[in-house]
Amino acid sequence: MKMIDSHVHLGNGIKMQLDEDTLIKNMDHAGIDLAIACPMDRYLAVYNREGNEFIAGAVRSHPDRLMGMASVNPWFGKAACEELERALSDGLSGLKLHPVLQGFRLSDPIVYPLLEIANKADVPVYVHTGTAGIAEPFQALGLALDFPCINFIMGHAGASDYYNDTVRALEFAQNLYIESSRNGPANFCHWQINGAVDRVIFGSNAPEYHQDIEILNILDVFTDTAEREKIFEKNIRRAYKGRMPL
Amino acid sequence: MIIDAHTHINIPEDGEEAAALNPYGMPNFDIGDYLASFDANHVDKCFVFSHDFNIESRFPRYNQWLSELGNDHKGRLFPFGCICPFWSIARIRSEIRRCFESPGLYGLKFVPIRQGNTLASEEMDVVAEECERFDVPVFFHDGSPEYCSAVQIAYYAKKHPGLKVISGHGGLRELWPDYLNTADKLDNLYICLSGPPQSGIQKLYEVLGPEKLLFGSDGGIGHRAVTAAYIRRIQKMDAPAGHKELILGKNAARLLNIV
Repeated sequence: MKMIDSHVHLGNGIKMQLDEDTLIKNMDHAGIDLAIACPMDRYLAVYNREGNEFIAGAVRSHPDRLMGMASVNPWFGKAACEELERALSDGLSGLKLHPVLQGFRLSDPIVYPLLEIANKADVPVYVHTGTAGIAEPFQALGLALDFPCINFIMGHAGASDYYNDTVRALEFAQNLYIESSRNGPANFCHWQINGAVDRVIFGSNAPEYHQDIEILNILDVFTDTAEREKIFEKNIRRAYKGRMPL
Repeated sequence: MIIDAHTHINIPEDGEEAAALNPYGMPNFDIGDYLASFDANHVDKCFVFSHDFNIESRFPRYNQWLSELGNDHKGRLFPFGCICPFWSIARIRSEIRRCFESPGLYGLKFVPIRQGNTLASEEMDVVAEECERFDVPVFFHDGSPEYCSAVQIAYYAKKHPGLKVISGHGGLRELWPDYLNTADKLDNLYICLSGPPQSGIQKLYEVLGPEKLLFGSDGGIGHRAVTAAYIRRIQKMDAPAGHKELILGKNAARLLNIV
């Protein structure tokens, strides 16, 4: 089984920092083969091109260990579309949206032009969820229904308060996955008893969490080998339609 | 010594058939199962709450059951009761006095997102007045808009400076930063770390120091890994061993005057 961390942040942000050498060292310590990186805080909010170029550079430096997601703020309109197309042609493999840092409701059509580009490029879209009114699981579901050919990854699976909405949202869209960061064993059990294991994708949200600790927390609950293979490898491969370096 | 400052226990229902599994996918534990789960994680003592904060008609019976639990497991379990903020003020006073005029209970717990009440009410002022009189803390579920955000908990602590107030989730995943510049000015506000991300736990420690922080897992009726996860996070903190000991138990002991 390969260990894939579907969600880490890289860069020198205001609120968080993580450089690629430290990330690779932490991955080695935790037994992680591949991580999917995206920009962090101010590079999600405003400095999109700088953030995307930084991630693309890290991927080029570690092509067997890192993949990258681009992020653009939809309020930049046409410039955001152009930057997304540029970043995807520069080696990045998905789109990350953060409605809180980027200042829009996940259900706002302002994001649709970006989703049209993701649809055309056939790349997955990761959306932050868990923030009341701004980024809720059923808002993510709305996007998944409007763009049925895009695989959407529900970041943080609606943590903290939306664990019931999260598993119910999965009923309505096969192209919706849930990412595990910001969750713990209570919600892992909730996903397990609600039959969601085929959609769960491991993510650490490093540097917000330590990868090694979060892996242990998942292993405590998911003791079956087949479940672990889905969560750490098979489901994320499916979300990325097999386009991974490993 | 490890004290888990945030645990829940299943209280048997009178005349109701228990479901096979609780909402967390676990059997409805009895007290033996509950204690075994904390023994497995080397937890010595626990603050204990019910997990039903919805049906107010049950609260008096729960308070009685929890009081007996505290007396039966004196020195190990420290149960908190609950009242309904929509009761009359006379009834609120009466139930709080019934809770604390005899031993067994150590504070009150509220889950405003479930109980649907604002903390900025005359009824909650009466709760504070009575709890301050008995010198017992008030423990809140927090981190959930619109009734119990971090700033709303901080407001309550500021409004009632003589009352010990405990944030039960440290603002959860997103609202913990609001404690950085509020809790530092509130000597009566304690923060249980069952909620912020690892980096949030670290930042709260760096800004507020170790004395206000409490280890809590929100475990007890779910998988015992719930408790193990938060012990791992505290142990992973970048802090001296002595500060981790404060967070893991000594602060909670001081707060409840546990010898």
